[in-house]
Amino acid sequence: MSSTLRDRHFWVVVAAGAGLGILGVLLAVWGNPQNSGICVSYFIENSSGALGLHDNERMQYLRPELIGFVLGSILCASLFREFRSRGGSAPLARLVSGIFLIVGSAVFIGCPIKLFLRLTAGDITSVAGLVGLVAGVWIGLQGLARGIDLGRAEDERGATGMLVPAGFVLLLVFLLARPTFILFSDRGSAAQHAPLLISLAVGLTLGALAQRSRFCITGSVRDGMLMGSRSPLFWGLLAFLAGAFVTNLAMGRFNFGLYGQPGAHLEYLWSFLGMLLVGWLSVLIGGCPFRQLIKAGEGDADAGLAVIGMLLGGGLVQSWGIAATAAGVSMSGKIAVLAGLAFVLVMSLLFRDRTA
Amino acid sequence: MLRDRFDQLMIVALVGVLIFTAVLMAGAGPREDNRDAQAAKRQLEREILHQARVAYIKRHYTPVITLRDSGALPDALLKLEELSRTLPGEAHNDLLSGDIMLRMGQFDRAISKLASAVKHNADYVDSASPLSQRPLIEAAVSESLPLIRDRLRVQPENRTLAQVLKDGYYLQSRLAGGCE
Repeated sequence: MSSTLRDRHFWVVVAAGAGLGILGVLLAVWGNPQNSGICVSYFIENSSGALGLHDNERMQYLRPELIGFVLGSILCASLFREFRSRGGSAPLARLVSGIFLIVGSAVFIGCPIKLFLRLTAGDITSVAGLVGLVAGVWIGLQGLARGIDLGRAEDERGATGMLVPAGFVLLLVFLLARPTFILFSDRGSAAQHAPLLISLAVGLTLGALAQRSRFCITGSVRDGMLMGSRSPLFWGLLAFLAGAFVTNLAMGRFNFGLYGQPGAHLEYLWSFLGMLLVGWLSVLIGGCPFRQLIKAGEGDADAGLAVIGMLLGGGLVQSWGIAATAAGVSMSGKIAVLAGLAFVLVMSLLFRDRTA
Repeated sequence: MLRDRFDQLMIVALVGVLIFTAVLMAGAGPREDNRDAQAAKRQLEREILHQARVAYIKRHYTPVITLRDSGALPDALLKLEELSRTLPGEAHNDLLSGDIMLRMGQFDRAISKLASAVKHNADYVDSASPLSQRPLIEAAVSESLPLIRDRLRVQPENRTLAQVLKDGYYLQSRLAGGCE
């Protein structure tokens, strides 16, 4: 343990975890919706709406945090010479996985980061999602141990890894210039946001920290299962929980209970299954929605495709009524989660190397 | 890169395309296909539609509100029933029914009606909306929920009451905020 504490990487991971937890709560204090200071799936749904991929007038805003995550990652990766264009590992499967990552998150109402933000704000309905996420990660690990492999990403010529970050630069231009074809909600939750520059600065900082640390929620759960307290990511997750919990308490945002929680429903089975889908997929494709954004910024074109899938998913969950609300999960939401589970099961069969 | 004439040609063509794009954007007046105007018009139409809806609601429901404010609550409910035939499925009907039932002390029905109104139109819990009815809904939830919980303790088998409680929790959740 003492050698771990002397390790600089350990402290970068802890800083990334604590930063994500603290700033995740503070962004809600500064204007983002309650318990959604950082929620990648919600930000993706908002951004899809702003790009015209769905017409829910209450869910349209190009979230600066999302842009910041990718650009912070590419800046940091370039600075430390870690940017590397790579790809070619089951690209279409990753694109579809990106869609289902958002489906699972939308049915739970939140990505894995928001799950823990909800939990540290006292929302105990999120426990069903937590159990689902842990179960999903565990099943994913069992699959990996038995030979499921999407294939190795190869270095790619032509700087294809630049395409997704370049797309996010364009989104930044859209956010600042506000052309008429980009839609911005003037009511509903998308109209609730922290000041643009603060959101962008937080996104850039967390993007850079996450790139350096490789911190990700499902990765932390995975490493916690595999290595226990020897894993720096596990300590990063604890720092996240401690940071978010203390900040929630300090800001008077801790409200322990089952009922009347913001952005939560009481359909525990579907919360469980939604997060099970997210955890399982995240292990197979190498990271939760947040990590896909960071990897896309590092030049990983496969993660970039997952991000594009997430944006498509953001449009679909709103257009097809898949996203759950406080009233519960719609029939299309339930079917979409089951379709996602069918997809990941088929993927597990098709991508299994049985020769080992 | 730039080793042979082909590369150089590609670079020159790229610079040309970029310059052409910049010139086109800088000199662009109203676009030929008028898409900017169309997009702006769409935004405006959305706003007009929203304002028209607010005005429409006010116009149609003024008699109900007058009756409610004068204390003629049963008459106000009758008027609402009459309006529900001409405006079926209108969320404002549910909202006003909930308001009136709350004043009449019919907490269960009030909560169900208010939940139905918010499910159909989330503007009622949006403090930025001109249709916002947060104080009413907050009052309904804080007054009714403890009573409903107490009654459900005595009649745990009452499914209707359990559904009302669920509606109450839904309203509480929407009032708390979140990302819907």
